Amino acid sequence: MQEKGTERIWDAYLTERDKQVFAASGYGVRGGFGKRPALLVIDVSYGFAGDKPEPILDSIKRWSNSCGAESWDAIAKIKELIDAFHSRKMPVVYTTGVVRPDGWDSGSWAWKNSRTDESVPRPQQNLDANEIVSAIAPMPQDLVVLKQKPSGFFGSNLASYLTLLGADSVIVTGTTTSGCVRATVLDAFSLNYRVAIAEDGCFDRSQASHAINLCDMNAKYADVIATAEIVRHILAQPEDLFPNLPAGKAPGTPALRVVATA
Amino acid sequence: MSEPVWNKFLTERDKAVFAAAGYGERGGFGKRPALLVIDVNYAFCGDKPEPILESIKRWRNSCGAESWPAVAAIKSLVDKAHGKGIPVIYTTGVRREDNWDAGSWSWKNKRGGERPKVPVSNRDGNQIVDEIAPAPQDLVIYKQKPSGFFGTSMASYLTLLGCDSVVVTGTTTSGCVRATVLDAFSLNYRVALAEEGCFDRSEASHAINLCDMNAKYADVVKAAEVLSFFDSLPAGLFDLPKGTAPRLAAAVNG
Repeated sequence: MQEKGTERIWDAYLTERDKQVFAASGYGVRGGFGKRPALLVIDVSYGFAGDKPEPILDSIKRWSNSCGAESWDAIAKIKELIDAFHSRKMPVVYTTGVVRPDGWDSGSWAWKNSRTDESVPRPQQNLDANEIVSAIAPMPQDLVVLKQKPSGFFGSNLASYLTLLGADSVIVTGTTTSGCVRATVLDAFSLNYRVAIAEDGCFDRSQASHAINLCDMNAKYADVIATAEIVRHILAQPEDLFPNLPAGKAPGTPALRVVATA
Repeated sequence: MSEPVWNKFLTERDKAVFAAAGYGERGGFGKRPALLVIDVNYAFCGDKPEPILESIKRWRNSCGAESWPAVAAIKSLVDKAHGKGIPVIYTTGVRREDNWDAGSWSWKNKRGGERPKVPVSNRDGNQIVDEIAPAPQDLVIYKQKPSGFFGTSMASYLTLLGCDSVVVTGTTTSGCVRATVLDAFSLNYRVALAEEGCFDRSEASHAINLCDMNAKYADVVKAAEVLSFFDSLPAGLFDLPKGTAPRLAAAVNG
Protein backbone atom coordinates (compact mmCIF):
# COMPACT_ATOMS: atom_id res chain seq x y z
CA MET A 1 0.00 0.00 0.00
CA GLN A 2 2.90 2.35 0.67
CA GLU A 3 4.00 4.04 -2.52
CA LYS A 4 7.62 5.07 -2.65
CA GLY A 5 7.91 8.53 -1.17
CA THR A 6 4.67 8.27 0.78
CA GLU A 7 5.02 10.00 4.14
CA ARG A 8 5.15 7.61 7.08
CA ILE A 9 4.14 8.44 10.64
CA TRP A 10 7.76 8.33 11.79
CA ASP A 11 9.18 10.70 9.16
CA ALA A 12 8.31 13.73 11.31
CA TYR A 13 10.56 12.40 14.07
CA LEU A 14 13.60 11.42 11.99
CA THR A 15 16.54 13.69 11.27
CA GLU A 16 17.42 14.28 7.63
CA ARG A 17 20.55 12.19 8.11
CA ASP A 18 18.47 9.35 9.53
CA LYS A 19 16.37 9.23 6.37
CA GLN A 20 19.49 9.01 4.20
CA VAL A 21 21.03 6.34 6.42
CA PHE A 22 17.92 4.15 6.39
CA ALA A 23 17.75 4.41 2.60
CA ALA A 24 21.45 3.70 2.06
CA SER A 25 21.77 0.82 4.50
CA GLY A 26 19.08 -1.17 2.71
CA TYR A 27 16.60 -1.50 5.57
CA GLY A 28 12.82 -1.36 5.38
CA VAL A 29 12.06 -3.41 2.30
CA ARG A 30 8.83 -5.38 2.28
CA GLY A 31 9.28 -8.78 3.94
CA GLY A 32 5.93 -10.16 2.83
CA PHE A 33 3.17 -12.22 4.42
CA GLY A 34 3.69 -15.84 5.35
CA LYS A 35 1.31 -18.57 4.20
CA ARG A 36 -0.19 -19.49 7.57
CA PRO A 37 -0.64 -16.45 9.79
CA ALA A 38 -1.96 -16.17 13.33
CA LEU A 39 -3.40 -12.92 14.64
CA LEU A 40 -1.86 -11.70 17.88
CA VAL A 41 -3.76 -9.22 20.06
CA ILE A 42 -1.31 -7.96 22.63
CA ASP A 43 -2.52 -6.69 26.02
CA VAL A 44 -5.68 -4.89 24.91
CA SER A 45 -6.93 -4.78 28.48
CA TYR A 46 -8.59 -2.10 30.59
CA GLY A 47 -5.21 -1.44 32.19
CA PHE A 48 -3.88 -0.17 28.87
CA ALA A 49 -7.03 1.20 27.22
CA GLY A 50 -8.74 2.65 30.28
CA ASP A 51 -12.41 1.84 30.79
CA LYS A 52 -13.71 4.35 28.24
CA PRO A 53 -12.38 6.70 25.53
CA GLU A 54 -11.10 9.82 27.22
CA PRO A 55 -8.02 12.06 26.87
CA ILE A 56 -4.91 10.22 28.01
CA LEU A 57 -3.97 12.63 30.79
CA ASP A 58 -7.42 12.12 32.33
CA SER A 59 -7.40 8.38 31.80
CA ILE A 60 -4.02 7.78 33.44
CA LYS A 61 -5.22 9.39 36.65
CA ARG A 62 -7.16 6.19 37.26
CA TRP A 63 -5.31 3.75 34.98
CA SER A 64 -1.58 4.34 35.32
CA ASN A 65 -0.80 2.45 32.10
CA SER A 66 -3.60 3.88 29.98
CA CYS A 67 -2.96 4.97 26.40
CA GLY A 68 -6.10 7.14 26.37
CA ALA A 69 -8.52 7.89 23.56
CA GLU A 70 -6.32 6.52 20.76
CA SER A 71 -6.74 3.06 22.28
CA TRP A 72 -10.35 2.90 21.21
CA ASP A 73 -9.74 3.87 17.58
CA ALA A 74 -7.23 1.02 17.42
CA ILE A 75 -9.64 -1.40 19.10
CA ALA A 76 -12.15 -0.79 16.30
CA LYS A 77 -9.45 -1.78 13.78
CA ILE A 78 -8.44 -4.82 15.80
CA LYS A 79 -12.08 -5.92 15.79
CA GLU A 80 -12.10 -5.81 11.97
CA LEU A 81 -9.05 -8.09 11.95
CA ILE A 82 -10.49 -10.49 14.52
CA ASP A 83 -13.73 -10.74 12.53
CA ALA A 84 -11.76 -11.48 9.35
CA PHE A 85 -9.68 -14.18 11.06
CA HIS A 86 -12.78 -15.75 12.63
CA SER A 87 -14.58 -15.74 9.29
CA ARG A 88 -11.72 -17.75 7.74
CA LYS A 89 -11.31 -20.05 10.78
CA MET A 90 -7.82 -18.74 11.37
CA PRO A 91 -6.17 -18.51 14.79
CA VAL A 92 -6.54 -15.51 17.07
CA VAL A 93 -4.23 -15.40 20.07
CA TYR A 94 -4.65 -12.86 22.86
CA THR A 95 -2.13 -12.00 25.53
CA THR A 96 -2.70 -10.24 28.80
CA GLY A 97 -0.90 -9.86 32.08
CA VAL A 98 -1.15 -11.89 35.24
CA VAL A 99 0.28 -11.00 38.65
CA ARG A 100 -0.05 -12.42 42.14
CA PRO A 101 -2.31 -10.45 44.48
CA ASP A 102 0.73 -9.71 46.67
CA GLY A 103 2.66 -8.37 43.67
CA TRP A 104 5.79 -10.48 44.35
CA ASP A 105 6.10 -11.55 40.73
CA SER A 106 6.10 -7.97 39.47
CA GLY A 107 9.87 -8.26 39.82
CA SER A 108 11.63 -5.84 37.50
CA TRP A 109 8.36 -3.99 36.74
CA ALA A 110 8.44 -2.57 40.25
CA TRP A 111 11.86 -0.99 39.87
CA LYS A 112 11.21 1.78 37.36
CA ASN A 113 7.65 2.92 37.99
CA SER A 114 6.29 4.61 41.10
CA ARG A 115 2.74 3.39 40.38
CA THR A 116 3.43 -0.32 39.74
CA ASP A 117 1.38 -1.49 42.72
CA GLU A 118 -1.71 -0.20 40.92
CA SER A 119 -1.32 -3.08 38.43
CA VAL A 120 -2.31 -5.53 41.12
CA PRO A 121 -6.07 -6.21 41.16
CA ARG A 122 -7.75 -3.80 43.54
CA PRO A 123 -11.13 -4.47 45.09
CA GLN A 124 -12.22 -0.84 44.67
CA GLN A 125 -12.01 -1.24 40.90
CA ASN A 126 -14.97 -2.83 39.21
CA LEU A 127 -12.77 -3.95 36.34
CA ASP A 128 -9.60 -6.03 36.46
CA ALA A 129 -6.81 -4.12 34.69
CA ASN A 130 -5.75 -7.35 32.98
CA GLU A 131 -9.21 -8.15 31.59
CA ILE A 132 -9.38 -7.91 27.80
CA VAL A 133 -11.82 -5.16 26.81
CA SER A 134 -15.31 -6.48 26.19
CA ALA A 135 -15.48 -4.98 22.68
CA ILE A 136 -13.04 -7.70 21.55
CA ALA A 137 -13.55 -10.34 24.23
CA PRO A 138 -12.02 -13.71 23.23
CA MET A 139 -14.32 -16.27 21.59
CA PRO A 140 -14.35 -19.91 22.71
CA GLN A 141 -12.01 -21.03 19.91
CA ASP A 142 -9.46 -18.30 20.60
CA LEU A 143 -6.28 -18.77 22.59
CA VAL A 144 -5.41 -16.61 25.58
CA VAL A 145 -1.81 -16.46 26.77
CA LEU A 146 -1.12 -15.05 30.24
CA LYS A 147 2.25 -13.41 30.62
CA GLN A 148 4.34 -11.44 33.10
CA LYS A 149 6.88 -9.64 30.95
CA PRO A 150 6.71 -7.55 27.75
CA SER A 151 7.03 -10.30 25.14
CA GLY A 152 4.12 -12.65 24.56
CA PHE A 153 6.74 -15.37 24.08
CA PHE A 154 8.64 -14.85 27.34
CA GLY A 155 7.81 -17.58 29.84
CA SER A 156 4.70 -18.57 27.91
CA ASN A 157 3.39 -21.26 25.55
CA LEU A 158 3.01 -18.92 22.59
CA ALA A 159 5.78 -20.48 20.48
CA SER A 160 4.54 -24.01 21.16
CA TYR A 161 0.98 -23.00 20.23
CA LEU A 162 2.22 -21.55 16.93
CA THR A 163 4.08 -24.80 16.23
CA LEU A 164 0.96 -26.81 17.08
CA LEU A 165 -1.07 -24.65 14.70
CA GLY A 166 1.58 -24.84 12.00
CA ALA A 167 1.67 -21.05 11.79
CA ASP A 168 4.61 -19.58 9.84
CA SER A 169 3.81 -15.93 10.47
CA VAL A 170 2.08 -13.53 12.82
CA ILE A 171 0.01 -10.39 12.35
CA VAL A 172 0.54 -8.25 15.44
CA THR A 173 -1.85 -5.72 16.97
CA GLY A 174 -2.31 -4.17 20.39
CA THR A 175 -0.35 -2.21 22.91
CA THR A 176 1.95 -0.64 23.72
CA THR A 177 3.68 -0.26 20.38
CA SER A 178 6.98 0.49 22.13
CA GLY A 179 6.53 -2.07 24.88
CA CYS A 180 4.77 -5.39 24.62
CA VAL A 181 4.05 -5.16 20.87
CA ARG A 182 7.68 -4.45 20.10
CA ALA A 183 8.92 -7.16 22.48
CA THR A 184 6.60 -9.72 20.91
CA VAL A 185 7.58 -8.68 17.38
CA LEU A 186 11.25 -8.98 18.30
CA ASP A 187 10.88 -12.52 19.60
CA ALA A 188 8.75 -13.52 16.60
CA PHE A 189 11.51 -12.16 14.36
CA SER A 190 14.19 -14.02 16.31
CA LEU A 191 12.14 -17.21 15.99
CA ASN A 192 12.06 -16.70 12.19
CA TYR A 193 8.36 -16.03 11.85
CA ARG A 194 7.28 -13.56 9.19
CA VAL A 195 5.83 -10.56 11.00
CA ALA A 196 3.36 -7.89 9.94
CA ILE A 197 2.04 -5.13 12.17
CA ALA A 198 -1.35 -3.48 11.70
CA GLU A 199 -0.28 0.14 12.01
CA ASP A 200 -3.72 1.48 12.93
CA GLY A 201 -4.31 -1.49 15.25
CA CYS A 202 -1.40 -0.54 17.53
CA PHE A 203 -1.31 2.16 20.17
CA ASP A 204 0.98 3.67 22.76
CA ARG A 205 0.93 6.26 25.49
CA SER A 206 3.83 8.16 23.90
CA GLN A 207 3.43 9.63 20.42
CA ALA A 208 7.17 9.71 19.74
CA SER A 209 7.72 6.18 21.02
CA HIS A 210 4.82 4.92 18.91
CA ALA A 211 6.24 6.47 15.74
CA ILE A 212 9.90 5.57 16.21
CA ASN A 213 9.20 2.04 17.36
CA LEU A 214 7.11 1.49 14.23
CA CYS A 215 10.08 2.87 12.26
CA ASP A 216 12.57 0.53 13.96
CA MET A 217 10.33 -2.50 13.49
CA ASN A 218 9.55 -1.67 9.86
CA ALA A 219 13.27 -1.23 9.17
CA LYS A 220 14.33 -4.61 10.50
CA TYR A 221 11.72 -6.91 11.95
CA ALA A 222 8.28 -6.51 10.41
CA ASP A 223 6.11 -4.99 7.69
CA VAL A 224 4.11 -2.07 9.10
CA ILE A 225 0.92 -1.90 7.02
CA ALA A 226 -2.68 -0.76 7.23
CA THR A 227 -5.44 -2.94 8.66
CA ALA A 228 -7.43 -2.67 5.43
CA GLU A 229 -4.64 -4.37 3.47
CA ILE A 230 -4.36 -7.18 6.01
CA VAL A 231 -8.12 -7.75 6.03
CA ARG A 232 -8.13 -8.06 2.22
CA HIS A 233 -5.30 -10.58 2.39
CA ILE A 234 -6.98 -12.67 5.11
CA LEU A 235 -10.36 -12.69 3.38
CA ALA A 236 -8.63 -14.10 0.28
CA GLN A 237 -7.47 -17.19 2.23
CA PRO A 238 -9.28 -20.54 2.14
CA GLU A 239 -11.29 -21.63 5.18
CA ASP A 240 -9.47 -24.92 5.79
CA LEU A 241 -5.94 -23.70 6.52
CA PHE A 242 -6.18 -24.48 10.23
CA PRO A 243 -8.23 -27.64 10.75
CA ASN A 244 -6.93 -28.02 14.30
CA LEU A 245 -8.12 -24.81 15.90
CA PRO A 246 -9.36 -25.42 19.44
CA ALA A 247 -12.89 -26.84 19.31
CA GLY A 248 -13.83 -24.13 21.73
CA LYS A 249 -14.82 -24.57 25.29
CA ALA A 250 -14.76 -21.22 27.05
CA PRO A 251 -11.21 -20.34 28.11
CA GLY A 252 -10.95 -21.68 31.66
CA THR A 253 -9.68 -19.49 34.43
CA PRO A 254 -6.64 -20.55 36.45
CA ALA A 255 -8.64 -20.34 39.66
CA LEU A 256 -11.15 -22.97 38.51
CA ARG A 257 -8.38 -25.28 37.37
CA VAL A 258 -6.63 -25.12 40.73
CA VAL A 259 -9.82 -26.10 42.55
CA ALA A 260 -10.56 -28.93 40.14
CA THR A 261 -7.15 -30.57 40.53
CA ALA A 262 -6.70 -30.00 44.26
CA MET B 1 20.12 14.73 35.27
CA SER B 2 20.95 17.15 32.47
CA GLU B 3 18.47 17.47 29.62
CA PRO B 4 18.03 13.92 28.30
CA VAL B 5 18.99 13.34 24.66
CA TRP B 6 15.45 12.19 23.91
CA ASN B 7 13.57 15.30 25.05
CA LYS B 8 13.89 17.06 21.71
CA PHE B 9 12.20 14.11 19.99
CA LEU B 10 9.22 13.93 22.38
CA THR B 11 5.98 15.84 21.99
CA GLU B 12 4.84 18.05 24.86
CA ARG B 13 2.04 15.59 25.58
CA ASP B 14 4.56 12.75 25.74
CA LYS B 15 6.51 14.54 28.46
CA ALA B 16 3.33 15.09 30.50
CA VAL B 17 2.27 11.46 30.03
CA PHE B 18 5.64 9.99 31.06
CA ALA B 19 5.62 12.13 34.20
CA ALA B 20 2.03 11.29 35.13
CA ALA B 21 2.27 7.57 34.42
CA GLY B 22 5.06 7.15 36.95
CA TYR B 23 7.70 5.80 34.57
CA GLY B 24 11.40 6.57 34.53
CA GLU B 25 12.21 6.22 38.21
CA ARG B 26 15.73 5.25 39.13
CA GLY B 27 15.87 1.45 39.44
CA GLY B 28 19.34 1.33 40.96
CA PHE B 29 22.43 -0.81 40.43
CA GLY B 30 22.52 -4.40 41.62
CA LYS B 31 25.23 -5.81 43.88
CA ARG B 32 26.94 -8.20 41.45
CA PRO B 33 27.06 -6.69 37.94
CA ALA B 34 28.45 -7.98 34.70
CA LEU B 35 29.53 -5.59 31.95
CA LEU B 36 27.98 -6.48 28.57
CA VAL B 37 29.56 -5.24 25.35
CA ILE B 38 27.07 -5.84 22.55
CA ASP B 39 28.25 -6.30 18.96
CA VAL B 40 31.07 -3.75 18.92
CA ASN B 41 32.60 -5.21 15.78
CA TYR B 42 33.82 -3.89 12.45
CA ALA B 43 30.46 -4.46 10.77
CA PHE B 44 28.78 -1.97 13.10
CA CYS B 45 31.68 0.48 13.58
CA GLY B 46 33.24 0.34 10.15
CA ASP B 47 36.99 -0.14 10.03
CA LYS B 48 37.82 3.47 10.85
CA PRO B 49 36.07 6.64 12.02
CA GLU B 50 34.37 8.25 9.04
CA PRO B 51 31.00 9.89 8.37
CA ILE B 52 28.24 7.33 8.48
CA LEU B 53 27.07 7.83 4.90
CA GLU B 54 30.63 7.11 3.73
CA SER B 55 31.11 4.17 6.05
CA ILE B 56 27.89 2.39 5.10
CA LYS B 57 28.94 2.25 1.47
CA ARG B 58 31.32 -0.51 2.50
CA TRP B 59 29.79 -1.61 5.80
CA ARG B 60 26.04 -1.60 5.36
CA ASN B 61 25.44 -1.87 9.13
CA SER B 62 27.94 0.80 10.12
CA CYS B 63 27.00 3.45 12.66
CA GLY B 64 29.78 5.73 11.41
CA ALA B 65 31.97 8.18 13.29
CA GLU B 66 29.87 8.13 16.49
CA SER B 67 30.90 4.51 17.00
CA TRP B 68 34.45 5.43 17.96
CA PRO B 69 33.90 7.83 20.89
CA ALA B 70 31.58 5.13 22.23
CA VAL B 71 34.37 2.55 21.81
CA ALA B 72 36.60 4.81 23.91
CA ALA B 73 33.92 5.05 26.62
CA ILE B 74 33.48 1.27 26.55
CA LYS B 75 37.23 0.82 26.87
CA SER B 76 37.26 2.85 30.09
CA LEU B 77 34.52 0.60 31.48
CA VAL B 78 36.23 -2.61 30.33
CA ASP B 79 39.52 -1.49 31.89
CA LYS B 80 37.82 -0.68 35.19
CA ALA B 81 35.94 -3.98 35.18
CA HIS B 82 39.19 -5.88 34.54
CA GLY B 83 40.87 -4.04 37.40
CA LYS B 84 38.10 -5.07 39.78
CA GLY B 85 37.59 -8.60 38.53
CA ILE B 86 34.08 -7.78 37.32
CA PRO B 87 32.95 -10.07 34.48
CA VAL B 88 33.06 -8.67 30.96
CA ILE B 89 30.89 -10.42 28.40
CA TYR B 90 31.09 -9.63 24.70
CA THR B 91 28.58 -10.61 22.07
CA THR B 92 29.02 -10.71 18.33
CA GLY B 93 27.36 -12.37 15.37
CA VAL B 94 28.05 -15.71 13.73
CA ARG B 95 26.75 -16.93 10.41
CA ARG B 96 27.15 -19.93 8.09
CA GLU B 97 29.11 -19.21 4.94
CA ASP B 98 26.04 -20.03 2.83
CA ASN B 99 23.92 -17.59 4.89
CA TRP B 100 21.10 -20.13 5.45
CA ASP B 101 20.83 -19.20 9.09
CA ALA B 102 20.29 -15.52 8.35
CA GLY B 103 16.60 -16.43 8.36
CA SER B 104 14.47 -13.42 9.17
CA TRP B 105 17.46 -11.04 8.75
CA SER B 106 17.28 -11.61 5.00
CA TRP B 107 13.64 -10.52 4.67
CA LYS B 108 13.75 -6.80 5.37
CA ASN B 109 17.08 -5.56 4.03
CA LYS B 110 17.91 -5.40 0.36
CA ARG B 111 21.62 -5.56 1.21
CA GLY B 112 21.13 -8.58 3.49
CA GLY B 113 23.04 -10.91 1.22
CA GLU B 114 26.17 -8.75 1.25
CA ARG B 115 29.15 -10.36 2.83
CA PRO B 116 31.78 -8.09 4.33
CA LYS B 117 33.88 -6.89 1.40
CA VAL B 118 37.04 -8.68 2.37
CA PRO B 119 39.27 -7.43 -0.48
CA VAL B 120 38.39 -3.87 0.48
CA SER B 121 38.58 -4.18 4.23
CA ASN B 122 40.51 -7.33 5.15
CA ARG B 123 38.30 -7.42 8.22
CA ASP B 124 35.72 -9.93 9.35
CA GLY B 125 32.58 -7.93 10.11
CA ASN B 126 31.94 -9.99 13.23
CA GLN B 127 35.39 -9.42 14.73
CA ILE B 128 35.30 -7.27 17.86
CA VAL B 129 37.30 -4.08 17.27
CA ASP B 130 40.94 -4.27 18.32
CA GLU B 131 40.67 -1.33 20.74
CA ILE B 132 38.56 -3.45 23.10
CA ALA B 133 39.58 -6.96 22.03
CA PRO B 134 38.50 -9.51 24.66
CA ALA B 135 41.07 -10.42 27.32
CA PRO B 136 41.68 -14.07 28.24
CA GLN B 137 39.32 -14.04 31.24
CA ASP B 138 36.47 -12.44 29.30
CA LEU B 139 33.48 -14.31 27.92
CA VAL B 140 32.50 -14.11 24.24
CA ILE B 141 29.00 -15.10 23.14
CA TYR B 142 28.11 -15.79 19.52
CA LYS B 143 24.55 -15.00 18.57
CA GLN B 144 22.32 -14.91 15.51
CA LYS B 145 19.50 -12.63 16.55
CA PRO B 146 19.28 -9.23 18.25
CA SER B 147 19.24 -10.29 21.90
CA GLY B 148 22.43 -11.56 23.52
CA PHE B 149 20.19 -14.00 25.39
CA PHE B 150 18.35 -15.49 22.40
CA GLY B 151 19.65 -18.97 21.61
CA THR B 152 22.78 -18.47 23.73
CA SER B 153 24.31 -19.39 27.08
CA MET B 154 24.17 -15.81 28.37
CA ALA B 155 21.64 -16.43 31.14
CA SER B 156 23.44 -19.57 32.31
CA TYR B 157 26.77 -17.71 32.43
CA LEU B 158 25.18 -14.97 34.55
CA THR B 159 23.80 -17.62 36.90
CA LEU B 160 27.22 -19.31 37.07
CA LEU B 161 28.81 -15.96 37.93
CA GLY B 162 26.11 -15.16 40.48
CA CYS B 163 25.27 -11.89 38.74
CA ASP B 164 22.16 -9.99 39.78
CA SER B 165 22.54 -7.16 37.29
CA VAL B 166 24.05 -6.05 33.99
CA VAL B 167 25.58 -2.84 32.72
CA VAL B 168 24.99 -2.71 28.99
CA THR B 169 27.05 -1.00 26.29
CA GLY B 170 27.43 -1.36 22.53
CA THR B 171 25.33 -1.23 19.43
CA THR B 172 22.86 -0.63 18.02
CA THR B 173 20.95 1.14 20.77
CA SER B 174 17.67 0.43 18.99
CA GLY B 175 18.58 -3.08 17.91
CA CYS B 176 20.77 -5.53 19.77
CA VAL B 177 21.31 -3.33 22.83
CA ARG B 178 17.58 -2.84 23.28
CA ALA B 179 16.82 -6.52 22.65
CA THR B 180 19.42 -7.58 25.23
CA VAL B 181 18.16 -5.04 27.78
CA LEU B 182 14.60 -6.27 27.25
CA ASP B 183 15.53 -9.90 27.92
CA ALA B 184 17.63 -8.92 30.94
CA PHE B 185 14.60 -7.01 32.27
CA SER B 186 12.30 -9.96 31.63
CA LEU B 187 14.75 -12.22 33.48
CA ASN B 188 14.59 -9.82 36.48
CA TYR B 189 18.16 -8.56 36.30
CA ARG B 190 18.76 -4.96 37.29
CA VAL B 191 19.84 -3.14 34.15
CA ALA B 192 21.87 0.02 33.60
CA LEU B 193 22.97 1.49 30.27
CA ALA B 194 26.15 3.55 29.94
CA GLU B 195 24.79 6.28 27.69
CA GLU B 196 28.06 7.31 25.99
CA GLY B 197 28.90 3.65 25.44
CA CYS B 198 25.86 3.07 23.21
CA PHE B 199 25.51 4.02 19.57
CA ASP B 200 23.16 3.66 16.62
CA ARG B 201 22.95 4.45 12.94
CA SER B 202 19.77 6.48 13.45
CA GLU B 203 19.82 9.57 15.68
CA ALA B 204 16.08 9.45 16.36
CA SER B 205 16.08 5.71 17.08
CA HIS B 206 19.05 6.14 19.43
CA ALA B 207 17.29 8.86 21.43
CA ILE B 208 13.82 7.34 21.61
CA ASN B 209 15.06 3.86 22.40
CA LEU B 210 17.08 5.27 25.30
CA CYS B 211 13.88 7.03 26.39
CA ASP B 212 11.80 3.84 26.19
CA MET B 213 14.40 1.81 28.07
CA ASN B 214 14.90 4.48 30.74
CA ALA B 215 11.14 4.68 31.23
CA LYS B 216 10.60 0.99 31.84
CA TYR B 217 13.55 -1.35 31.68
CA ALA B 218 16.85 0.25 32.67
CA ASP B 219 18.63 3.22 34.19
CA VAL B 220 20.32 5.26 31.46
CA VAL B 221 23.36 6.71 33.25
CA LYS B 222 26.65 8.37 32.37
CA ALA B 223 29.74 6.20 31.99
CA ALA B 224 31.41 8.14 34.82
CA GLU B 225 28.70 7.00 37.21
CA VAL B 226 29.25 3.38 36.23
CA LEU B 227 32.99 3.83 36.83
CA SER B 228 32.29 5.15 40.35
CA PHE B 229 29.94 2.25 40.98
CA PHE B 230 32.56 -0.29 39.86
CA ASP B 231 35.07 1.52 42.12
CA SER B 232 32.73 1.08 45.07
CA LEU B 233 32.65 -2.72 44.72
CA PRO B 234 35.14 -4.95 46.54
CA ALA B 235 37.72 -6.70 44.34
CA GLY B 236 37.47 -10.44 43.80
CA LEU B 237 33.66 -10.72 43.93
CA PHE B 238 33.57 -13.18 41.07
CA ASP B 239 34.99 -16.55 40.15
CA LEU B 240 36.02 -15.59 36.62
CA PRO B 241 37.34 -17.93 33.92
CA LYS B 242 41.04 -18.59 34.49
CA GLY B 243 41.68 -17.37 31.00
CA THR B 244 42.98 -19.30 28.10
CA ALA B 245 42.82 -17.39 24.89
CA PRO B 246 39.18 -16.59 24.00
CA ARG B 247 39.93 -16.11 20.34
CA LEU B 248 37.26 -18.54 19.27
CA ALA B 249 36.07 -16.30 16.48
CA ALA B 250 38.58 -17.66 14.00
CA ALA B 251 37.73 -21.25 14.92
CA VAL B 252 33.98 -20.72 14.82
CA ASN B 253 34.07 -18.83 11.59
CA GLY B 254 36.32 -21.45 10.07
